[in-house]
Amino acid sequence: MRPDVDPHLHAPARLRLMTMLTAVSEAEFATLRDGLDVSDSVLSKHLSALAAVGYLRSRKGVHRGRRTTWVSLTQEGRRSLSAHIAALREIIAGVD
Amino acid sequence: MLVAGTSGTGKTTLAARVADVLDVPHVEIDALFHGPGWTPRPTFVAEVAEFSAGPAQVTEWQYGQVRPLLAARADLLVWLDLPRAVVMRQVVRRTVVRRVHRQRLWHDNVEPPLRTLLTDPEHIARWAWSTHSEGPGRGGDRSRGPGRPRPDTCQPGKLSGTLSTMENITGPPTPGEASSAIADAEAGRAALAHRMALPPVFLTSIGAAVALQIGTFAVGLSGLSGVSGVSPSWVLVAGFAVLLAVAGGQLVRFRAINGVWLGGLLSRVVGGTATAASVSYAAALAAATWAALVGVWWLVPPCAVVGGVAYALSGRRWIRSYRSEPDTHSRGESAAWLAVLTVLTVLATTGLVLLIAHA
Repeated sequence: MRPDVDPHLHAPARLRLMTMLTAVSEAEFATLRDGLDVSDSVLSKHLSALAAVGYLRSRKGVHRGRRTTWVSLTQEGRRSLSAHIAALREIIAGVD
Repeated sequence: MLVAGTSGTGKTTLAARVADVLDVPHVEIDALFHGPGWTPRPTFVAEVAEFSAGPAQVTEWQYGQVRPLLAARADLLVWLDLPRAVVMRQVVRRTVVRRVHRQRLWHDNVEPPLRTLLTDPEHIARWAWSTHSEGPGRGGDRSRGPGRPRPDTCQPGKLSGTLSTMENITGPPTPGEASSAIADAEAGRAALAHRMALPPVFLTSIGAAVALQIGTFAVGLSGLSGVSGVSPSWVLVAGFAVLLAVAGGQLVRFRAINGVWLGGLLSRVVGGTATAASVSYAAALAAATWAALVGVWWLVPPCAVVGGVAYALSGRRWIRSYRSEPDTHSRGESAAWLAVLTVLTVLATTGLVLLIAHA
Protein backbone atom coordinates (compact mmCIF):
# COMPACT_ATOMS: atom_id res chain seq x y z
CA MET A 1 0.00 0.00 0.00
CA ARG A 2 1.35 3.40 -0.93
CA PRO A 3 1.10 5.88 1.92
CA ASP A 4 -0.75 9.13 1.19
CA VAL A 5 1.63 12.02 1.01
CA ASP A 6 -0.15 15.37 1.23
CA PRO A 7 0.55 17.37 -1.96
CA HIS A 8 -0.04 20.64 -0.10
CA LEU A 9 2.79 19.81 2.31
CA HIS A 10 5.15 18.40 -0.27
CA ALA A 11 7.40 21.48 -0.49
CA PRO A 12 10.04 21.23 2.28
CA ALA A 13 9.42 24.88 3.22
CA ARG A 14 5.73 24.15 3.85
CA LEU A 15 6.47 21.13 6.02
CA ARG A 16 8.94 23.24 7.99
CA LEU A 17 6.45 26.09 8.32
CA MET A 18 3.66 23.82 9.57
CA THR A 19 6.02 21.99 11.95
CA MET A 20 7.27 25.30 13.36
CA LEU A 21 3.68 26.31 14.02
CA THR A 22 3.14 23.22 16.18
CA ALA A 23 5.60 24.75 18.65
CA VAL A 24 3.44 27.85 19.25
CA SER A 25 -0.18 28.88 19.54
CA GLU A 26 0.29 31.74 17.13
CA ALA A 27 3.29 33.26 15.38
CA GLU A 28 3.89 36.58 13.72
CA PHE A 29 4.88 36.93 10.06
CA ALA A 30 8.47 38.15 10.50
CA THR A 31 9.21 35.47 13.11
CA LEU A 32 8.16 32.77 10.65
CA ARG A 33 10.02 34.41 7.79
CA ASP A 34 13.26 34.52 9.79
CA GLY A 35 12.76 30.95 11.02
CA LEU A 36 12.26 29.71 7.47
CA ASP A 37 14.91 31.99 5.98
CA VAL A 38 12.75 32.93 2.98
CA SER A 39 11.67 36.25 1.48
CA ASP A 40 8.40 37.98 2.37
CA SER A 41 6.86 37.12 -0.98
CA VAL A 42 7.68 33.41 -0.72
CA LEU A 43 6.27 33.19 2.79
CA SER A 44 3.04 34.96 1.89
CA LYS A 45 2.62 32.68 -1.09
CA HIS A 46 2.90 29.59 1.14
CA LEU A 47 0.65 31.13 3.78
CA SER A 48 -2.12 31.93 1.34
CA ALA A 49 -1.90 28.49 -0.29
CA LEU A 50 -2.11 26.74 3.09
CA ALA A 51 -4.89 29.05 4.30
CA ALA A 52 -6.83 28.34 1.10
CA VAL A 53 -6.92 24.60 1.91
CA GLY A 54 -7.90 25.37 5.50
CA TYR A 55 -4.63 24.30 7.18
CA LEU A 56 -3.82 27.74 8.57
CA ARG A 57 -5.73 30.66 9.94
CA SER A 58 -4.33 34.16 9.77
CA ARG A 59 -5.43 37.46 11.20
CA LYS A 60 -4.23 41.04 10.88
CA GLY A 61 -2.66 42.43 14.02
CA VAL A 62 0.05 44.66 15.38
CA HIS A 63 3.55 43.69 16.51
CA ARG A 64 6.00 46.23 17.95
CA GLY A 65 3.86 49.04 16.60
CA ARG A 66 3.75 47.71 13.04
CA ARG A 67 0.85 46.10 11.25
CA THR A 68 1.51 42.43 10.67
CA THR A 69 -0.14 39.05 10.24
CA TRP A 70 -0.50 36.48 13.00
CA VAL A 71 -0.70 32.86 11.85
CA SER A 72 -1.88 29.72 13.59
CA LEU A 73 -2.65 26.10 12.69
CA THR A 74 -6.23 24.89 12.36
CA GLN A 75 -7.46 21.50 13.65
CA GLU A 76 -7.59 20.40 10.02
CA GLY A 77 -4.00 21.54 9.51
CA ARG A 78 -2.83 19.65 12.59
CA ARG A 79 -4.54 16.46 11.41
CA SER A 80 -3.15 16.76 7.89
CA LEU A 81 0.34 17.42 9.21
CA SER A 82 0.35 14.30 11.41
CA ALA A 83 -1.04 12.22 8.54
CA HIS A 84 1.63 13.58 6.20
CA ILE A 85 4.43 12.89 8.66
CA ALA A 86 3.08 9.39 9.28
CA ALA A 87 3.13 8.81 5.50
CA LEU A 88 6.72 10.07 5.26
CA ARG A 89 7.75 7.76 8.11
CA GLU A 90 6.15 4.83 6.31
CA ILE A 91 8.20 5.65 3.22
CA ILE A 92 11.35 5.77 5.36
CA ALA A 93 10.43 2.48 7.10
CA GLY A 94 9.77 0.90 3.69
CA VAL A 95 13.48 0.70 2.90
CA ASP A 96 14.43 -1.23 6.03
CA MET B 1 21.54 30.80 -11.25
CA LEU B 2 21.39 34.52 -12.09
CA VAL B 3 18.44 36.65 -13.16
CA ALA B 4 19.17 39.67 -15.35
CA GLY B 5 16.94 42.50 -16.54
CA THR B 6 16.45 46.18 -15.96
CA SER B 7 14.74 47.63 -12.87
CA GLY B 8 11.19 46.39 -12.37
CA THR B 9 11.33 43.41 -14.73
CA GLY B 10 10.77 41.01 -11.82
CA LYS B 11 14.29 39.73 -11.15
CA THR B 12 13.76 39.40 -7.42
CA THR B 13 10.28 37.91 -7.80
CA LEU B 14 11.54 35.26 -10.21
CA ALA B 15 14.69 34.56 -8.19
CA ALA B 16 12.65 34.05 -5.01
CA ARG B 17 10.25 31.70 -6.74
CA VAL B 18 13.00 29.62 -8.33
CA ALA B 19 14.89 29.45 -5.02
CA ASP B 20 11.74 28.23 -3.32
CA VAL B 21 10.99 25.56 -5.91
CA LEU B 22 14.58 24.28 -5.92
CA ASP B 23 14.93 24.76 -2.16
CA VAL B 24 18.21 26.67 -2.50
CA PRO B 25 19.05 30.04 -0.90
CA HIS B 26 18.06 33.28 -2.62
CA VAL B 27 20.21 36.29 -1.81
CA GLU B 28 18.68 39.61 -2.81
CA ILE B 29 21.75 41.45 -4.00
CA ASP B 30 20.15 44.88 -3.46
CA ALA B 31 19.97 44.07 0.24
CA LEU B 32 23.75 43.56 0.34
CA PHE B 33 24.47 46.69 -1.68
CA HIS B 34 22.26 49.34 -0.10
CA GLY B 35 23.18 50.39 3.43
CA PRO B 36 21.21 52.82 5.60
CA GLY B 37 20.32 56.02 3.73
CA TRP B 38 20.88 54.32 0.33
CA THR B 39 24.67 54.45 0.80
CA PRO B 40 26.71 51.54 -0.60
CA ARG B 41 27.83 49.13 2.09
CA PRO B 42 31.61 48.68 2.38
CA THR B 43 31.27 44.91 2.92
CA PHE B 44 29.29 44.44 -0.32
CA VAL B 45 31.92 42.68 -2.45
CA ALA B 46 33.11 40.50 0.44
CA GLU B 47 29.57 39.37 1.20
CA VAL B 48 28.84 38.57 -2.44
CA ALA B 49 32.04 36.51 -2.56
CA GLU B 50 30.97 34.70 0.59
CA PHE B 51 27.48 33.68 -0.50
CA SER B 52 28.45 32.89 -4.07
CA ALA B 53 30.98 30.39 -2.75
CA GLY B 54 28.10 28.25 -1.42
CA PRO B 55 27.00 25.05 -3.18
CA ALA B 56 23.93 26.60 -4.90
CA GLN B 57 22.25 29.96 -4.94
CA VAL B 58 19.95 32.25 -6.89
CA THR B 59 20.53 35.99 -7.15
CA GLU B 60 20.07 38.99 -9.41
CA TRP B 61 22.63 39.91 -12.10
CA GLN B 62 23.51 43.43 -10.96
CA TYR B 63 26.38 45.73 -9.96
CA GLY B 64 29.31 45.65 -12.38
CA GLN B 65 31.98 45.23 -9.71
CA VAL B 66 30.69 41.80 -8.63
CA ARG B 67 29.60 40.44 -12.02
CA PRO B 68 32.86 38.50 -12.58
CA LEU B 69 32.35 36.86 -9.16
CA LEU B 70 28.75 35.96 -9.96
CA ALA B 71 29.48 34.80 -13.50
CA ALA B 72 32.26 32.49 -12.34
CA ARG B 73 29.81 30.56 -10.17
CA ALA B 74 26.73 30.60 -12.41
CA ASP B 75 25.57 27.81 -14.65
CA LEU B 76 22.41 29.57 -15.81
CA LEU B 77 21.66 33.20 -16.59
CA VAL B 78 18.02 34.12 -17.22
CA TRP B 79 17.49 37.48 -18.86
CA LEU B 80 14.06 39.01 -18.38
CA ASP B 81 13.81 40.95 -21.62
CA LEU B 82 10.27 42.28 -21.41
CA PRO B 83 8.66 44.95 -23.60
CA ARG B 84 9.41 48.46 -22.41
CA ALA B 85 5.71 49.16 -21.78
CA VAL B 86 5.43 46.18 -19.41
CA VAL B 87 8.62 47.11 -17.54
CA MET B 88 7.54 50.74 -17.15
CA ARG B 89 4.11 49.74 -15.86
CA GLN B 90 5.73 47.39 -13.30
CA VAL B 91 8.44 49.76 -12.12
CA VAL B 92 6.07 52.72 -11.77
CA ARG B 93 3.50 50.64 -9.92
CA ARG B 94 6.16 49.22 -7.56
CA THR B 95 7.71 52.63 -6.87
CA VAL B 96 4.34 54.27 -6.16
CA VAL B 97 3.15 51.41 -3.92
CA ARG B 98 6.44 51.38 -1.99
CA ARG B 99 6.40 55.15 -1.57
CA VAL B 100 2.73 55.42 -0.59
CA HIS B 101 3.09 52.69 2.05
CA ARG B 102 6.53 54.02 3.05
CA GLN B 103 7.54 50.38 2.73
CA ARG B 104 10.82 49.66 4.48
CA LEU B 105 13.30 48.19 2.02
CA TRP B 106 16.80 47.00 2.80
CA HIS B 107 18.27 48.49 5.99
CA ASP B 108 15.11 50.54 6.61
CA ASN B 109 15.45 52.57 3.42
CA VAL B 110 12.27 53.94 1.84
CA GLU B 111 11.65 55.11 -1.73
CA PRO B 112 12.37 58.85 -2.15
CA PRO B 113 9.42 61.22 -2.78
CA LEU B 114 7.69 60.68 -6.14
CA ARG B 115 8.56 64.22 -7.33
CA THR B 116 12.21 63.13 -7.62
CA LEU B 117 11.15 61.47 -10.89
CA LEU B 118 11.42 64.96 -12.36
CA THR B 119 14.55 66.09 -10.55
CA ASP B 120 16.73 63.00 -10.29
CA PRO B 121 18.20 61.77 -13.60
CA GLU B 122 18.97 58.44 -11.88
CA HIS B 123 15.42 57.96 -10.60
CA ILE B 124 14.49 54.28 -10.80
CA ALA B 125 11.78 54.80 -13.44
CA ARG B 126 14.05 56.94 -15.64
CA TRP B 127 16.82 54.39 -15.14
CA ALA B 128 14.50 51.58 -16.25
CA TRP B 129 13.54 53.59 -19.35
CA SER B 130 17.06 54.41 -20.40
CA THR B 131 18.69 51.04 -19.63
CA HIS B 132 15.85 49.01 -21.06
CA SER B 133 17.70 48.07 -24.22
CA GLU B 134 20.80 46.93 -22.32
CA GLY B 135 21.18 43.37 -21.22
CA PRO B 136 23.54 40.40 -21.19
CA GLY B 137 22.38 39.46 -24.70
CA ARG B 138 22.97 42.88 -26.24
CA GLY B 139 25.94 45.15 -26.79
CA GLY B 140 25.18 47.35 -23.79
CA ASP B 141 26.63 44.90 -21.36
CA ARG B 142 30.39 45.08 -21.11
CA SER B 143 30.83 41.73 -19.40
CA ARG B 144 29.86 39.82 -22.53
CA GLY B 145 32.66 37.50 -23.46
CA PRO B 146 33.49 36.57 -27.05
CA GLY B 147 32.92 32.84 -26.64
CA ARG B 148 29.48 33.12 -25.11
CA PRO B 149 26.83 30.84 -26.66
CA ARG B 150 23.67 32.36 -28.07
CA PRO B 151 20.93 32.28 -25.45
CA ASP B 152 17.74 30.25 -25.74
CA THR B 153 14.58 32.27 -25.55
CA CYS B 154 11.10 31.58 -24.25
CA GLN B 155 7.93 33.54 -23.56
CA PRO B 156 7.34 34.72 -19.97
CA GLY B 157 4.12 32.69 -19.83
CA LYS B 158 6.02 29.48 -20.53
CA LEU B 159 8.56 30.20 -17.80
CA SER B 160 5.76 30.78 -15.33
CA GLY B 161 4.04 27.59 -16.43
CA THR B 162 7.22 25.55 -15.96
CA LEU B 163 7.63 26.94 -12.44
CA SER B 164 4.01 26.12 -11.57
CA THR B 165 4.53 22.56 -12.75
CA MET B 166 7.67 22.30 -10.64
CA GLU B 167 5.80 23.67 -7.63
CA ASN B 168 3.06 21.07 -7.96
CA ILE B 169 5.17 17.95 -8.36
CA THR B 170 3.25 15.49 -6.25
CA GLY B 171 5.12 12.26 -6.75
CA PRO B 172 5.95 10.50 -3.48
CA PRO B 173 9.34 11.48 -2.09
CA THR B 174 12.15 8.97 -1.89
CA PRO B 175 13.02 7.65 1.59
CA GLY B 176 16.05 9.94 1.61
CA GLU B 177 13.97 13.01 0.74
CA ALA B 178 11.36 12.03 3.31
CA SER B 179 13.85 11.74 6.13
CA SER B 180 15.67 14.94 5.23
CA ALA B 181 12.33 16.80 5.01
CA ILE B 182 11.35 15.60 8.48
CA ALA B 183 14.78 16.34 9.91
CA ASP B 184 14.77 19.83 8.40
CA ALA B 185 11.27 20.58 9.71
CA GLU B 186 12.13 19.35 13.20
CA ALA B 187 15.35 21.35 13.22
CA GLY B 188 13.35 24.45 12.32
CA ARG B 189 10.96 23.84 15.18
CA ALA B 190 13.75 23.14 17.67
CA ALA B 191 15.52 26.33 16.61
CA LEU B 192 12.33 28.34 17.09
CA ALA B 193 11.79 26.87 20.56
CA HIS B 194 15.41 27.54 21.55
CA ARG B 195 15.34 31.13 20.30
CA MET B 196 12.37 31.80 22.57
CA ALA B 197 13.59 34.22 25.23
CA LEU B 198 11.92 35.08 28.50
CA PRO B 199 11.73 38.78 29.38
CA PRO B 200 14.16 39.77 32.17
CA VAL B 201 13.06 38.68 35.66
CA PHE B 202 10.06 36.89 34.15
CA LEU B 203 9.85 33.99 36.61
CA THR B 204 11.12 36.04 39.55
CA SER B 205 8.45 38.68 39.11
CA ILE B 206 5.69 36.10 38.71
CA GLY B 207 6.92 34.24 41.81
CA ALA B 208 7.13 37.49 43.79
CA ALA B 209 3.64 38.54 42.72
CA VAL B 210 2.27 35.12 43.72
CA ALA B 211 4.00 35.36 47.11
CA LEU B 212 2.57 38.84 47.62
CA GLN B 213 -0.89 37.62 46.66
CA ILE B 214 -0.71 34.68 49.10
CA GLY B 215 0.42 36.98 51.91
CA THR B 216 -2.18 39.67 51.26
CA PHE B 217 -4.90 37.04 50.92
CA ALA B 218 -4.07 35.55 54.31
CA VAL B 219 -3.81 38.93 56.02
CA GLY B 220 -6.99 40.17 54.31
CA LEU B 221 -9.00 37.14 55.38
CA SER B 222 -7.83 37.42 58.96
CA GLY B 223 -8.92 41.07 58.82
CA LEU B 224 -12.36 40.00 57.64
CA SER B 225 -12.62 37.63 60.58
CA GLY B 226 -11.59 40.44 62.91
CA VAL B 227 -8.23 38.92 63.89
CA SER B 228 -6.12 41.84 62.66
CA GLY B 229 -6.84 45.53 62.37
CA VAL B 230 -6.00 45.88 58.66
CA SER B 231 -8.72 47.07 56.24
CA PRO B 232 -9.37 43.60 54.86
CA SER B 233 -11.04 43.85 51.47
CA TRP B 234 -8.56 46.39 50.05
CA VAL B 235 -5.60 44.22 50.94
CA LEU B 236 -7.24 41.20 49.30
CA VAL B 237 -8.10 43.09 46.13
CA ALA B 238 -4.70 44.82 45.91
CA GLY B 239 -2.90 41.45 46.08
CA PHE B 240 -5.00 40.07 43.23
CA ALA B 241 -4.63 43.27 41.19
CA VAL B 242 -0.82 43.25 41.48
CA LEU B 243 -0.69 39.59 40.43
CA LEU B 244 -2.93 40.21 37.42
CA ALA B 245 -0.95 43.30 36.36
CA VAL B 246 2.42 41.54 36.66
CA ALA B 247 1.17 38.43 34.83
CA GLY B 248 -0.46 40.44 32.04
CA GLY B 249 2.54 42.74 31.64
CA GLN B 250 4.99 39.83 31.46
CA LEU B 251 2.87 38.00 28.86
CA VAL B 252 2.67 41.10 26.67
CA ARG B 253 6.45 41.55 26.95
CA PHE B 254 7.02 37.90 26.07
CA ARG B 255 4.93 38.29 22.95
CA ALA B 256 6.67 41.49 21.90
CA ILE B 257 10.15 39.97 22.34
CA ASN B 258 9.46 36.69 20.56
CA GLY B 259 6.75 37.44 18.01
CA VAL B 260 4.85 34.35 19.12
CA TRP B 261 2.05 33.52 21.46
CA LEU B 262 2.36 30.42 23.66
CA GLY B 263 -0.85 29.13 25.19
CA GLY B 264 1.19 26.71 27.30
CA LEU B 265 3.14 29.54 28.90
CA LEU B 266 -0.07 31.39 29.68
CA SER B 267 -1.82 28.53 31.41
CA ARG B 268 0.97 26.34 32.80
CA VAL B 269 3.47 28.98 33.92
CA VAL B 270 1.48 32.15 34.50
CA GLY B 271 -1.89 30.58 35.24
CA GLY B 272 -0.31 27.89 37.40
CA THR B 273 -2.27 24.96 35.96
CA ALA B 274 0.82 22.74 36.08
CA THR B 275 0.20 20.23 38.88
CA ALA B 276 3.27 21.26 40.89
CA ALA B 277 2.25 24.92 40.72
CA SER B 278 -1.41 24.46 41.62
CA VAL B 279 -0.77 21.98 44.45
CA SER B 280 2.01 24.05 46.03
CA TYR B 281 0.00 27.25 45.57
CA ALA B 282 -3.09 25.77 47.25
CA ALA B 283 -0.98 24.35 50.11
CA ALA B 284 0.90 27.62 50.67
CA LEU B 285 -2.31 29.63 50.54
CA ALA B 286 -4.05 27.31 53.00
CA ALA B 287 -1.08 27.32 55.40
CA ALA B 288 -0.68 31.12 55.27
CA THR B 289 -4.41 31.67 55.78
CA TRP B 290 -4.50 29.26 58.70
CA ALA B 291 -1.45 30.91 60.26
CA ALA B 292 -3.05 34.36 59.94
CA LEU B 293 -6.38 33.19 61.33
CA VAL B 294 -4.82 31.64 64.42
CA GLY B 295 -2.57 34.65 64.80
CA VAL B 296 0.81 32.97 64.14
CA TRP B 297 1.98 35.99 62.12
CA TRP B 298 5.60 35.02 61.72
CA LEU B 299 4.49 31.96 59.71
CA VAL B 300 2.67 33.98 57.01
CA PRO B 301 5.69 35.42 55.11
CA PRO B 302 7.60 32.09 54.88
CA CYS B 303 4.44 30.35 53.60
CA ALA B 304 3.94 33.08 50.98
CA VAL B 305 7.60 32.95 49.91
CA VAL B 306 7.56 29.15 49.65
CA GLY B 307 4.39 29.38 47.53
CA GLY B 308 5.97 31.96 45.22
CA VAL B 309 9.25 30.07 44.87
CA ALA B 310 7.45 26.80 44.10
CA TYR B 311 5.37 28.61 41.47
CA ALA B 312 8.48 30.04 39.80
CA LEU B 313 10.32 26.69 39.95
CA SER B 314 7.39 24.90 38.37
CA GLY B 315 7.48 27.54 35.62
CA ARG B 316 11.17 26.93 35.06
CA ARG B 317 10.54 23.20 34.79
CA TRP B 318 7.83 23.83 32.18
CA ILE B 319 10.18 25.97 30.10
CA ARG B 320 12.78 23.20 30.12
CA SER B 321 10.27 20.60 28.98
CA TYR B 322 8.93 22.99 26.37
CA ARG B 323 12.39 23.42 24.89
CA SER B 324 12.91 19.67 24.64
CA GLU B 325 9.41 18.86 23.30
CA PRO B 326 7.90 22.08 21.95
CA ASP B 327 4.96 20.50 20.15
CA THR B 328 3.55 18.64 23.16
CA HIS B 329 3.81 21.66 25.47
CA SER B 330 3.04 24.62 23.22
CA ARG B 331 -0.67 24.69 23.82
CA GLY B 332 -2.19 25.08 27.24
CA GLU B 333 -5.57 23.92 28.40
CA SER B 334 -8.44 24.68 26.05
CA ALA B 335 -10.25 27.97 26.53
CA ALA B 336 -13.31 26.12 27.86
CA TRP B 337 -11.33 24.23 30.48
CA LEU B 338 -9.52 27.41 31.55
CA ALA B 339 -12.90 29.12 31.96
CA VAL B 340 -14.16 26.23 34.13
CA LEU B 341 -11.01 26.41 36.26
CA THR B 342 -11.35 30.18 36.65
CA VAL B 343 -15.01 29.91 37.70
CA LEU B 344 -14.17 27.13 40.19
CA THR B 345 -11.32 29.16 41.69
CA VAL B 346 -13.46 32.29 42.00
CA LEU B 347 -16.30 30.30 43.59
CA ALA B 348 -13.97 28.58 46.04
CA THR B 349 -12.29 31.84 47.04
CA THR B 350 -15.56 33.71 47.43
CA GLY B 351 -17.00 30.84 49.45
CA LEU B 352 -14.00 30.87 51.77
CA VAL B 353 -14.18 34.65 52.18
CA LEU B 354 -17.92 34.57 52.96
CA LEU B 355 -17.51 31.64 55.33
CA ILE B 356 -14.79 33.40 57.31
CA ALA B 357 -16.50 36.80 57.22
CA HIS B 358 -19.66 35.27 58.75
CA ALA B 359 -17.90 33.05 61.22
